Amino acid sequence: MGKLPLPLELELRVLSWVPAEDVARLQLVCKDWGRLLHDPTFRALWERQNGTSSFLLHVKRHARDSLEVQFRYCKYDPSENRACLKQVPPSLRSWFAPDGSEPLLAGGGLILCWFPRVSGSSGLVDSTNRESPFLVGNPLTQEWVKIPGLEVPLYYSKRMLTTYFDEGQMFFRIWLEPYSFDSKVGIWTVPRAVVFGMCSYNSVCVKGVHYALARLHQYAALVLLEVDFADISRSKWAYAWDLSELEGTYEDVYMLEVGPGEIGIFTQKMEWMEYTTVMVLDRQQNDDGDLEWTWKTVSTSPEEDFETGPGIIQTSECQTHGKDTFCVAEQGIVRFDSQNLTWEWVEKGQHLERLGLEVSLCQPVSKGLLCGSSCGARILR
Amino acid sequence: MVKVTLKSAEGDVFEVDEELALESLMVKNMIEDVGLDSAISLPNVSSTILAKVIEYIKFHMDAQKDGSKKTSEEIKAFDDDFVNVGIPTLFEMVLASNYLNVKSLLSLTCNTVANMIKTKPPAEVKEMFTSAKQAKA
Repeated sequence: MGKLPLPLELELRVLSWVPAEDVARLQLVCKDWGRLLHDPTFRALWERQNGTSSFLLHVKRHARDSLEVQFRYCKYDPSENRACLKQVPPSLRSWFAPDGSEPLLAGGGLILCWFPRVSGSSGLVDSTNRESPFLVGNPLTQEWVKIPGLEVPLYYSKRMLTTYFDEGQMFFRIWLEPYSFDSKVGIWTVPRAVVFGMCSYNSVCVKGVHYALARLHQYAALVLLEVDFADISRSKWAYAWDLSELEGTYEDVYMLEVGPGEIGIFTQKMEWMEYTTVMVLDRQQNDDGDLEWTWKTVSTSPEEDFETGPGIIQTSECQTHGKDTFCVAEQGIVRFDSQNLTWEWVEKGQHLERLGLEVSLCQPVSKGLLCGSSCGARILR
Repeated sequence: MVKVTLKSAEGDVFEVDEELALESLMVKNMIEDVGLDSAISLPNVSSTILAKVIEYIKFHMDAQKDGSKKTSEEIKAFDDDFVNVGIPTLFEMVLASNYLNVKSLLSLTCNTVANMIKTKPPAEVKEMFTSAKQAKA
């Protein structure tokens, strides 16, 4: 029996009308609600009522290294027939990361930070420093939890860290070869033969299959993975390209669905100026009847200009919601419409500081909020 | 116009148009099962609440009719005013609209309760509903 003088079914129904940012607080009303709001039944009901929404997190650096995490959420707005950015109540609008930490990535409803404690002049992080350098924060409960540190001596730099998250599966993973940390497992492990390194920050679900880009270590090849979340190292390859034959860079890409059912990527190009291109996978049969897949540019971020375009977009700083992808550029947030292939400013300048701005992304709110906290708890244990 | 007789928990009799009564899926099923001859008794709904529910359905049916001059602002004003009742009454309305299976009213009342709790700190929410429970007991 919960706190409302109502049967359980109706109580769930009432609570499903509460916006995501308030659900976290209501978990504190009583134990029954704490349990209720973590329940899959409630999650399903809430999603049906509210549709999914996602967070866009801004990480802003203030003086003396303090790191402020601000967030707002993207939500489908029926009146505009597209996703919009919404503000959260002032009490939840921002919170601070522990001093000295740097953001890495957010996933599974959490934001991942680390302390780049550099030892000596080598510029490398010394893992023999037993304190764990990794932290996860939950935007809704605004708590920071340490994840276990690596207990082996190893020197590493940020470049050697690969992070990855998945929207549907609610988890994140850190690679620091040969080790990997999986938020579902909660400890560092040495995966069986790691044969590839991730090139995309995320995976995209197109027609029920999750795709991600990776680079094979042994051969200079880029592969399109059909991600198997049970064991990523066993994911099937949908296609492989010879890296020497590919033009442009396929490192650090953001995956998204373009139009209905096309696999698309955001990738950065550097020629006479920097900009971000959107490419889609073009699946053709060649004359011999073999499949030949190529990446075809379909759109380019408008030229960097305060009036016209965002210039380069950090591919690690995007968040897709339906057909709208919100991207963070130096001068604000821009929306890419993956159906009409249009770019449009959503917020310009006023909220984002040019210097030291970094943005991370989060999962659908409902999942993030419910699983994020339980994930945090698991890590804590 | 065919009339349907509804009987509240206290035994008060309400005579309403069939069209109106059918808005309640529960009553609709009852009519399909037992016909229109006898009064439909609703032992879970008090007279006050039943009167409110009928008022709500009537207003919205009129508003949806062709040639209705009601603007969406007027409808919203009616809804706001309609749920502007004490917490115990509000809960009774949630229960009644669920029992009678009137979807729009259930959404309206649930949303109202959700709005009442959503911005309050946990302690206040607790207090609010404990007092509602005591008032009811």
